[in-house]
Amino acid sequence: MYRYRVNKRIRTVFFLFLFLFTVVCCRLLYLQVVRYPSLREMGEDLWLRDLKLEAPRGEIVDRYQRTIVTNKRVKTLLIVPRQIEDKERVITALVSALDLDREELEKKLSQDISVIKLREAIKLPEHISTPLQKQHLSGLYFVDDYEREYPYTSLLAHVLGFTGVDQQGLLGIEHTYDDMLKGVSGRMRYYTDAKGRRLPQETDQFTMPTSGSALTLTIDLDTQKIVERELDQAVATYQPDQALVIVQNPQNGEILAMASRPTFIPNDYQHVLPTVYNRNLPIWSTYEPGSTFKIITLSAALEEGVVDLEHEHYYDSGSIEVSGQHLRCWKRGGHKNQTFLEVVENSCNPGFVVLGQRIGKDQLFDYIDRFGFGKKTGIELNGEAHGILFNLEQVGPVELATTAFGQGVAVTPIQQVMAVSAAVNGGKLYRPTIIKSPNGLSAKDRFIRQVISESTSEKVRGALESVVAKGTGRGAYVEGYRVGGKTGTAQKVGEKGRYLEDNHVVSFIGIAPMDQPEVVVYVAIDNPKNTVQFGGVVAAPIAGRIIEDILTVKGVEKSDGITKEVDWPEKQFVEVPNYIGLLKSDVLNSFDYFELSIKGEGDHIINQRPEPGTKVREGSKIELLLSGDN
Amino acid sequence: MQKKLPIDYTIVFILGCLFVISLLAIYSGSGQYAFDDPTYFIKRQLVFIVLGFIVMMVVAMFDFELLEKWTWLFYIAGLGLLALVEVIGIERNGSQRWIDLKVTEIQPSEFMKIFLVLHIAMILSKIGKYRLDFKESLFVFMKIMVYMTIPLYLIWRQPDLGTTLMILFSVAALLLISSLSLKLLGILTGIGLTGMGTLVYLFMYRRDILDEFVAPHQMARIYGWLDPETYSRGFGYQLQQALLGIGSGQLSGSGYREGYQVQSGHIPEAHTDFIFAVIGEEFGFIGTSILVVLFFLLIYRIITIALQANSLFGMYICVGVISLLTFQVFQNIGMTIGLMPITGLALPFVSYGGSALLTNMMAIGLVTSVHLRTKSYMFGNDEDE
Repeated sequence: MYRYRVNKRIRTVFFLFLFLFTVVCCRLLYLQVVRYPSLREMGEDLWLRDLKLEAPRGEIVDRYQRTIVTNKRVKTLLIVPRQIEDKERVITALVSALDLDREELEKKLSQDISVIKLREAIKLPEHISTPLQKQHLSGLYFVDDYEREYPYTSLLAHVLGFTGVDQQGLLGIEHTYDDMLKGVSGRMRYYTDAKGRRLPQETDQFTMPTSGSALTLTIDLDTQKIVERELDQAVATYQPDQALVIVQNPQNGEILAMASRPTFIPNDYQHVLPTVYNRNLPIWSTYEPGSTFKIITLSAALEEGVVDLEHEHYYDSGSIEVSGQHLRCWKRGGHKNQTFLEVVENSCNPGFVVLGQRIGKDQLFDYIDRFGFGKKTGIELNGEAHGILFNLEQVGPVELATTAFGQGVAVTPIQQVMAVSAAVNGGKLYRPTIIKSPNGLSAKDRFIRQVISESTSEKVRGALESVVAKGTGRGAYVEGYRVGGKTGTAQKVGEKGRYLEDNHVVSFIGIAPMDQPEVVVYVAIDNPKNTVQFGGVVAAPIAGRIIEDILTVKGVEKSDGITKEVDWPEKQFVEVPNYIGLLKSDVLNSFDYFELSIKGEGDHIINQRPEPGTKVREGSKIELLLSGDN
Repeated sequence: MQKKLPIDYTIVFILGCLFVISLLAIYSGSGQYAFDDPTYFIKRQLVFIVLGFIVMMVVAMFDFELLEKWTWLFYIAGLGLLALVEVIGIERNGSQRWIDLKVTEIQPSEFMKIFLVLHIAMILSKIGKYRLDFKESLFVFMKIMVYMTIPLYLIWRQPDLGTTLMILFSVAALLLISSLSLKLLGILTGIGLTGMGTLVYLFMYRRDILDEFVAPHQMARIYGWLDPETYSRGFGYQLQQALLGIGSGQLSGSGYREGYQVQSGHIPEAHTDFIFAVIGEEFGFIGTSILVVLFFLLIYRIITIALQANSLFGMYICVGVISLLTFQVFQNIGMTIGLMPITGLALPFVSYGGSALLTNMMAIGLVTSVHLRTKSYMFGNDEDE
C-alpha cells in the first residue's frame, strides 16, 4: 500500500517535471526551426564585414585649370584582430614602424573589436607603409587614403582653408564647398566566417568610391604668385603686423588674387594660432580707409557736378575750420593754391572737406551706401565683415567733413576694391566673386547697380592717373603703362578708442591700364617698421611692381599716358626746416619731400642733421635724434 | 569490500555523454577568452570531472542511512559557512557568494542546498508513510519552514536569486510528495499561486512597490527577460544575442566552432552560464534536443531509483536531487531561450566550473548510494517497511 501511495505522488511530480522539459523542447523547436528565417535575417548583416574605401577629394584649380590643391595618395592601416595569425610579429612590426607604445598596442589588439583604426596609422606616407605591406602580415589591411597636397605651400591659404583627417573641409572654401569637393566613399564588403576570417569562396561586394568634383576659382595662379612674392618681400622689409593684397578684374568683379600675412601652410595649420588662419584679412579686417576713400568722394562730387577739376582753384592753408574744429591737412603748412585736380593729386584733406560739404550729407552717404559700404559684399567666403558707418542722424558737419577724406568710417578691403572697381569701370557695381565654376555667375548676374555714369567714371580715371603721374602715388608709376591709383594712410583706433600714434595702415589702390582697366590692385600694410608710415612710400611701390608684373605676364601692350613728373634733375633745392623741439608724431603725420631717418627712442626730437636752414635737394635724407626727455 | 565499483552504470553512461558534449562546448565557447592556450578551460574541466567521479564514488560508498542521524550536523556546518560568507566573503559582480581558501574558492550556498535537502528529507521520512492530520502537518511544516528560511535568507542577501529559487522549488517538491495533510498542501498550493499572481500584478502595475524589495540589478534582469528588445543593453542584450545564436543554429547547427554569435564573442559567458547557446548555435535543434533528452533520461533513471527505494529517507533524497537538477536545467536553458529571467545558475554537468560540478556529483553519489542499498534489500519484504 505504501509503495502505491508514495509512488503515485512521485509520478505526479515526475509528470510535472516532464511538463517542464516539454515546454523547453517546444520553445527550442519554435526558436530553431519555426522562427528561423527572421532570426537568420537579423544575423545576416553580422556575417558581412565592411572596409571603407576613401574617395579622393575634388581638386581646386585656378581660372585656367591649373592645379592649386590636389591629393596625395597615402595608405591608412586597418587592423582586423581576429585575422592576425602571428600576433607577436604584428606587434613587433607595428611598434618599430610606427613608434608605438608596445603595451598599449597589445591592449588594443586584445579588445573585441572587428576593425581597429589606429590614430598613429592614419595616412601613412609610402616610405612607412610599403615596408610594412611587404611583410604580408595577416590581419593588416592597407587601404587607399588621400591627403591634401599643396604644391605652392601657403599660396592662397586663407581662401583655401584646410581639411581634417577624415578629409572633411574645416575652413575656407574647403569648408564652404565641402559637399561638392568631397567624394562618395566606396566600400568593400566581404563575407567572413564565424571568427572573422575572410571567406574566399564568397563574392566580395565592391562599391567603388566616386571622387569629388573639381572647383574652379577665378584666381589667376600667375597673379597670385606675384602677389605672394611681393607680400613676402614686404614682410621682410617692413616687418608689418599684418599685410594684405587683393587683385580684382574691375570689369566683372572676379578676384584674381587674394593674400594675407601672417599666413600658414594648410597641412600644418595646427602650428599657428587660430587667429592666423581664422582671419582672411581682405574680407575680415575693418579699419578707417584713409585717403583711398577719397575716390568715393571724388566720384560723388563729379557725378553731382559740384566741382570742375581743371579750372576751379582751392587754397589750402594747412587746415580748415569746421564747427569750431580745425581739421588739419597731412602736409604741415598746407598745399597753398591748387586746382581741384591738384587737390586730388596731393590728397589734400581740406580740399576734400570742401568737396564733401558741396555734395551734402545726404547725398554723400547715399553714394557711400550705393557703392556697397556698410554691408557684406557677398563674396563666396566665410568670415566677411560689414564695416561700420556713421548713423546718418548722428552725422554733423564734423563727421561729414572727416568722412569725405576717409576718417570716421570703417570698411573692409574687399568693399574698397568693389567700390573703386565700380568707380573706374564705367560706374557698374559688381558683387565680387572667387568661384568660376560650378555655379559661377556671369558678370551680368552679379551686376548690382549703376552707381555713377560712364562719363563721370572716365573723369575719375583721369584724376587717378594723374595722382600716380604727378601726385602722392608716384611710387606706383610703371614705365610704359597707364597706371592710376590713390594712396591711403589710415589711423588705427586703439583699445581706449583713441588714435594710436606711429601705428598706421598704409595702403594704395592701383588701377591699370587707365584707358581700359583690367586690374584693380589693393595693397595694405599694417604698421610697417623702419619707415615713414605713408601709403605713397610703402604701399604704392608694391602695387606698382604687382601691376607691372601682371600686365607683362598678360602681355598687355604698353601705351603712353601722362608722363611721370619731377625727374631727378628737376629736383629743387629746398631749405631744411627746423625739427628740433617737435614731437615725433608731428613729423610722421606730415609728409615733406625728405627722407626722414629716425634714431633713438622717445617722443621728442632733440637734434637733427643737416642743420635747419641748410639747402638740400628735395628727397634728401635728414637724420633726426629722439629722446624721451624734453 | 565490494568488488564492484560503487556506481550506477546507467547514470555514469548518461553523465559520460553529457561530459563529452560539455568538453566540446567549453572548447568552442571559451576560444574568445583564452588567446594563449585554447585548451586551458577543458584541461581544468577534465580535472574537475575526474575529481567529480571520485567524490561521487566516495559518497556512494557510504551508507546513506547512517547520514540520517547526522543531517543536523551538516546543516549547522552549512549555516556556519554561509555566515562566514557574510563576514569574509569575496564580492564579484555585485554578489558576495564565495570564500577564498587560497587554493581555490568555494561557494557555500552550493553545499547548503544539498545539506538542506538532506535535513528536510530526514524530517519528512521521520513522519512516516501515512498522511498526518492537519494539526500535526502544520507543526512539521512550521519546523521545515524555520530550517529553510534561515539559510534561504542568507543566500537571498548575497544576493543569489538563482539558488534561492532552486531551494524554494526543491522544498516545494519535497513537501508535495510528503505525507503532510492534503488540506495543508492544498492551502499551501493556493498561497503559492496567489503569491506568484501578486508578484506578476506588482510587476505589471506597481513596480514601485517591487523596487523597494528587489535589488536593481535583479529587476534589470527581469526587465531584460520580459522585453529583450527594449532592454537590449545589459541583460536584455545577453538574451538577445543568445537568442540570435540559438535561432541561427536552425535544425542542424552552424557547425562545430563555426557559430557566428559564439565565436565573435557576442554571447557572454559562452563557456559557463550561456553554454547552452553554444550547443544551440553550433549543433542546432538536433543537438539541443539530444541534450534535453539526456537530462530527461538522467532524471527518469533517478525517478526509477526513487520508486524502487525501500527507505523513505532514500526516496526523499532522490526526489530532492531530481528537483535540484531539474530546476537548474530548466532555469539555465530557460534563461538562454527567454523562458526565465537571467540568473547565475549553471547548466548541471555541462557548464564550465568546479564548484557546481562537484556539488552535483555529490548529489549523484547520494542517489547511487540509495540505489546500491536498495539492491541489498532486493528480496526483503517491503510491506514491512
